[in-house]
Amino acid sequence: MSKQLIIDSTKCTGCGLCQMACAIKNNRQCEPSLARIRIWREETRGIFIPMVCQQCENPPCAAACLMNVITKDPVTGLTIRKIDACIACRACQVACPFEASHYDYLREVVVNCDHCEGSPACVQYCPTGALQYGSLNEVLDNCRQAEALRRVCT
Amino acid sequence: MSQSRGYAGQILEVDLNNQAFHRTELTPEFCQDYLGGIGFNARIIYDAVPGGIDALSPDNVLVFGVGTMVGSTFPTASRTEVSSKSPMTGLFGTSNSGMFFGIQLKNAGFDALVVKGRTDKPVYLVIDNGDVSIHDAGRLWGKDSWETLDILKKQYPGCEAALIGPAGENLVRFACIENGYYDAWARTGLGAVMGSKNLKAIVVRGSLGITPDNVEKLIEVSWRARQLIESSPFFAPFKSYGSMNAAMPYGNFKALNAHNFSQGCLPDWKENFARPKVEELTYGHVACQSCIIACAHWVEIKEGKYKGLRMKDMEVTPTTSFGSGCGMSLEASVKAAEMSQRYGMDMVSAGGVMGMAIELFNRGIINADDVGYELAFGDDDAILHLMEDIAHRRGIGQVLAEGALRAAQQYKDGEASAMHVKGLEIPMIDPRGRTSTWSFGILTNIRGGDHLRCRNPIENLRYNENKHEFQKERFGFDQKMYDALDMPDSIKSQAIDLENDTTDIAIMSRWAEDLINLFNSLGVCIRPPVEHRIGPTILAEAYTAFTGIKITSTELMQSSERCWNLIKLFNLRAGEKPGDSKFPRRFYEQEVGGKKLDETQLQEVLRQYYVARGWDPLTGQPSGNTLRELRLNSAE
Amino acid sequence: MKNIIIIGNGAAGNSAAETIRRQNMDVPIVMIAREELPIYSACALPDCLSGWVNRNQLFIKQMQDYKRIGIITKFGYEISHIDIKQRLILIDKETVAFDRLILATGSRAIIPPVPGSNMAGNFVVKTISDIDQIMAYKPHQVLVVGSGNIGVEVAEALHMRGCHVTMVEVMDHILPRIFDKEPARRLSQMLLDHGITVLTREKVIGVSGGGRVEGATTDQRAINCDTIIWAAGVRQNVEIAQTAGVRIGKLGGIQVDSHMQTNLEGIYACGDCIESIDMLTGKPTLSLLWPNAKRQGEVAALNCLGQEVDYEGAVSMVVEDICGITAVSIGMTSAALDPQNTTILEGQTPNEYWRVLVQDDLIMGMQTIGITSGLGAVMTLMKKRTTLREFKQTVIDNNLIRKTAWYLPARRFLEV
Repeated sequence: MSKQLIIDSTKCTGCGLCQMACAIKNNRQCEPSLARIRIWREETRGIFIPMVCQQCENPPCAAACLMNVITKDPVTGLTIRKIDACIACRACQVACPFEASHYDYLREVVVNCDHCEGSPACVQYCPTGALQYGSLNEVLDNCRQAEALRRVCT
Repeated sequence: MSQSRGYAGQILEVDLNNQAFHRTELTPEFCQDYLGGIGFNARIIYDAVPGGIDALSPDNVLVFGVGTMVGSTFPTASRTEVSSKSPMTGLFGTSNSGMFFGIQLKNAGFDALVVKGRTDKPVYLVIDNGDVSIHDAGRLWGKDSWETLDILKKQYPGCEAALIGPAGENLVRFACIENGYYDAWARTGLGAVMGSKNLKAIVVRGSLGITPDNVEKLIEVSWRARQLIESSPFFAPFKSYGSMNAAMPYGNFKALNAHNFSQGCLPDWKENFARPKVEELTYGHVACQSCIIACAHWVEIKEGKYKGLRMKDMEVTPTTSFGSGCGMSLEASVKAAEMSQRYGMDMVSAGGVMGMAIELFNRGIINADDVGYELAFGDDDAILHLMEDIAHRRGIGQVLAEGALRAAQQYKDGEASAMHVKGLEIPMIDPRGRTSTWSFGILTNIRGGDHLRCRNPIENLRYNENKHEFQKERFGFDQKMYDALDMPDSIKSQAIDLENDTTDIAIMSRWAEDLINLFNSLGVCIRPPVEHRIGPTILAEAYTAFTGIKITSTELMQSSERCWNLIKLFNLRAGEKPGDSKFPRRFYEQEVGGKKLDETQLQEVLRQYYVARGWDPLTGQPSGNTLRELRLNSAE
Repeated sequence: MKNIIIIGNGAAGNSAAETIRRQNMDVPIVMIAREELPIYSACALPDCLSGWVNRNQLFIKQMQDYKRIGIITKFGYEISHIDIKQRLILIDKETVAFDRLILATGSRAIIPPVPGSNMAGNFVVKTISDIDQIMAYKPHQVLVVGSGNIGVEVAEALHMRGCHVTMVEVMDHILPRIFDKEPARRLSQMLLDHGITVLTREKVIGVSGGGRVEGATTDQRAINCDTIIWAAGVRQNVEIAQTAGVRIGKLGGIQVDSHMQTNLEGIYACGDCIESIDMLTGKPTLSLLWPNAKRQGEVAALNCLGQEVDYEGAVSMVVEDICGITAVSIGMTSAALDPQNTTILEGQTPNEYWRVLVQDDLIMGMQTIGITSGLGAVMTLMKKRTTLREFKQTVIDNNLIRKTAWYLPARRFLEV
């Protein structure tokens, strides 16, 4: 897969802007529970982990789907859905270990992250850089540069 | 999905006397006039709570008002205001807290929650996606707030909760309402009010969603606001070090509460509380809903006496209350914060009461027989023991639980040690060291002796110069900063004198109070980078984009001013006197850092402030004209 | 290789065909099936009965989708005979040759030999034609025999359509193969609260009526009804294969090895018609679930093409919607486990119920009501054979948990 959503949970402060951005982008509603990215809060340990569809090569959701709605896009490598064929049986939701299949109660179908067609809203909104979007090499390079800058300037 | 735009659209009233629920629809007029948050609270409480009632009686009303912008993309919009008649001051009691309670209550369908009456047996309230129910809290009563939250969060996964600990149950007068594990609606004793109603917790959980009126505009304004905040020179220091940024400067100014306001700064303050020491204990940052700053620190103590203690902490106000006010070590102040959270007590009042107790002990007015053990500044164990006693009203805790003023009145000449204004203990700032908008605000704050409602949006921590007989502080910034400040020119030119490089304390105080009150109505955070860069112009745009209600920046500020004046009327009706707006005698009589306050000069600044507000210059009573302009004449 | 023939057009057959095409665009594939229709979701049939799904929404493919990936379809044909030696299949008057054969013949619903069960008004729910017939019959008072997942779904569906529904189950609780007694009791109560009559420990012994169903008798009472839906079990479609010499197992399904190959060289089998191995117990099992059929079809196809792929075994995951509430059963039930050796972790909140079955510190099964999160994590832990001890050690470690964060939603069920 060319570009990936890369998450560094050590930078996540739990602000929830990613969830808000996703919900507003996809549903035009201010409602974090409609988001396809979620923050898992271990609040009594100060640990916050953004969780989103891992775009698995062999998705358990695709295997479980009772309408064969879910496939892999040969070009982008994303896990995609023929959403009109979804009957919201929730089998995919139950099968996914990352809680990546979300029930959209407004449209009554189950959805997963689709990288917002190449410009993920959550990445735009994230104030700490916990969410990044790019090829693994690109992102590692960004981290390397940021670290170098930090060392030079402090 | 609500039909309402921006607002959830309803206010929920819970009558504990007969376990009845009543839902009221919001009207556009009410929204325009009071906006939300503290605005809603003020109107509701003024109408429902008459002058003479006892704050701990069933007649008192407790209101949770979610800020209007909460639940939107607007940066830092997370705040909820809780208000009531205060058992500490007898005046309007109110407090503001962020995190996630507000967004859950709003998504559960309500912009405000009003709690009336009381039950005979302890209960907790559940508001779950529009459904409201009351449950027996027998198995929760007596448990500390962290234990209670563990149980409630298991029962209602994904919920947030406002709750009281043993201090609230025991009607400790300055008990707080906990907001989750690590935050609180702390000041003015709201926890005691909730305890007096036998209400242990309010559980909220919601996913109903809020529909913005204009999604594109809301997103655009939110990004603009975010860029403004991020471009403030106060942003980077706040992001990395949070509220603790004020700790060293105020120490240098000798303007800290040190050992119960007896010194301006402890001699070893820098050694024990400077940044490197604090950073040893902190691991990462935590944010409230929609916040881009994430000023809060995650603290873990990995060795020593309090090894294993971990929580979100290290805010300057409690750290100075315990660390400087009582002389505790840095680690012990974290422990004291933990206990305050678990027991549900306001850290500032607790620190203030204990500082006073130690001073009384040192003066020989109370002794080891009264307390049960020795007390001394810096004696961490004794102070923590005292905290336990206060939370559970044991021994001298029975007296101290009444707050500094009432406790001091039990002893001959005790009041000289009670550092309060209008019955509320003064937090970290010693105005003798620094007389500025921020410290002046302690006198005029509608909730009593507190510093959080009058901070100058363009406060300069580099200078500590007070000129022209207490009336001016140093501005210290350039033309660019002046131009960028979002204030109407007519007020700005009066508030700031570029030529003489001064800020007029009276005029800036009035503006700062209205601005902060506006933030507390809209649910936006008052941290320095936000207060500095966000003003009524962009907030009016955000408000209209979210709610669809058209409002100008002038009308927006006026609604905030309306709320402030209404609260003042409430306070006057509750018995506030002009003479109550004074500092403890000590500030006028004893020097700290070579300075003391001049009462006459301070009175003059107060008079100028009243004039700026359109209030009677002598009594501070809002004038007929002012009330008419604000359409508050029917309030009388 | 000249020709691959797939008998069957269900989940397994299509999964096999698609897998072959993903690897090889050239090898000829012929699919033979009884129904003259493209593949449809058999699982969604009750949803069609209830009106939640339109009839045309049931179809997963259109006929041109087969053509587009170069599959020759012979739909609407009965197979007369398979000649293993000559490697020929005789359908009607046509003969088709194969190099490799994949049997995906599925199963059929059976009506037990109860007197009167062949009258008009007796139905099963297995094919789209069954649905068409039931709708055309306009049922009012319905008796559903059997409370497996088909029975329960059909009972709910017809109730939603406005029918008066009674469900009869011979075992002592409903959904006996997938839920323990306690969760089944709760689900039963939900159905009762909704207006569906549920009778357990009761057996239908007769159907009465003059030419069409007018009533039924159980061993305890008489029941008024005009329609009977038999959800009393299925039989594997293995007759043709058996005649051709394919070995059938004790449970009634075609026996296959870990490569999905039958006892006959080059002949594979997958889906409802086979006996597979349970992933957790290693024992033979009939696992008649859509996701398992798809995976078996995939494995059969890969092995058919010459790649050696082992089948990891079947895992049961059943998701039900009962009165709008999601009920899930993963893995094994208490009935299938040794009670001496099994620990039950049970819990509830006002809207949720769960139980996890643990044996030797390993998760063997889970049943939930009103929950949709955390189940994927538990199922993955179950399949990976992660012990609870290891789970706990990882979860409490601040560094490890960031790397295996997916453990977290499972915490509250595993009491960690």
